Amino acid sequence: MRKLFLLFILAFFKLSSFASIQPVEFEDNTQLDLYNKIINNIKCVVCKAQSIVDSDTDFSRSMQTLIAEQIKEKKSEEEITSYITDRYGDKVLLNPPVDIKTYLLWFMPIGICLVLAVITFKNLKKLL
Amino acid sequence: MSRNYKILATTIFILLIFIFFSYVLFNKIDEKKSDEEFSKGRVIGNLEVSVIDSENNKIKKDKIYNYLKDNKTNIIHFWASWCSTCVKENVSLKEYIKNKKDINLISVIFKDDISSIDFKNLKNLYNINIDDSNGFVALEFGASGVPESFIVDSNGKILKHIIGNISNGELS
Repeated sequence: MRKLFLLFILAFFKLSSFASIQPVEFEDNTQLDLYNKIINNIKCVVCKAQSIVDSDTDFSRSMQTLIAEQIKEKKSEEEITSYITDRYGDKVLLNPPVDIKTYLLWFMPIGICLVLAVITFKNLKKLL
Repeated sequence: MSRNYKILATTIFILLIFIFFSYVLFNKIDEKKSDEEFSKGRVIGNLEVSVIDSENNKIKKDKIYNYLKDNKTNIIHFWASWCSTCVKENVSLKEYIKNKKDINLISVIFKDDISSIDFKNLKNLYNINIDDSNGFVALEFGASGVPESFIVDSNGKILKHIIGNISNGELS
């Protein structure tokens, strides 16, 4: 019963995440895969917390259409991504590149976890 | 002594976390400003746009650079009739630029039904109206909403990016 309930909930997540993909036709599956890869990595510029796939804003729809057009023009993933980051910055990517500006973003959580782990292990005796 | 040291270390640790989150929070508040700064200096592409003839609502395709004036302040203003703030802003903009001849105000109508817009009424406000039905002009500029404005030179270089309403102070 619990598994069934979980499946039911998961089914809804699946539906919602594909709710606002624009119907686009490509020459082959490689283009479709590239399209899905790019649109899942771009953040909505209006609502910020969602990808353009999950967001239903006019800007996200335009972004999807623009990416599809550029794929049809045989542009590479790098060319399309840099077209968008040139205009909106790296923060528009859901998976931003690891560089000097994002070290804090990538490694701070690990750092905090390590510090907390050390504190916990040191005080393990007291806690138990 | 050792206990005091532990209390001090914990306090410093909590304080550091607090400073970190405060920094993140304040940066978030300033996001609008950083977005505006980010666009500065970028040159927009000479993309083909749909220019609306205000007399008969017909559209002709032309390059955007053809409408940027050398001796005037070119303001590209993104708006839509479904955005109530934008409609109100049109009234205040009209009042502000009434006696200013050095402003070349270009309107980009973002994802709107242009047949519902009264262009004759807007004739004295905007020099040109551009139909951005697919939103590509807004994306080329790096806009993230309406109303939003860009001040550009005749070579398409962005001099200023204004998110939200244009205040009179920003224009002068």
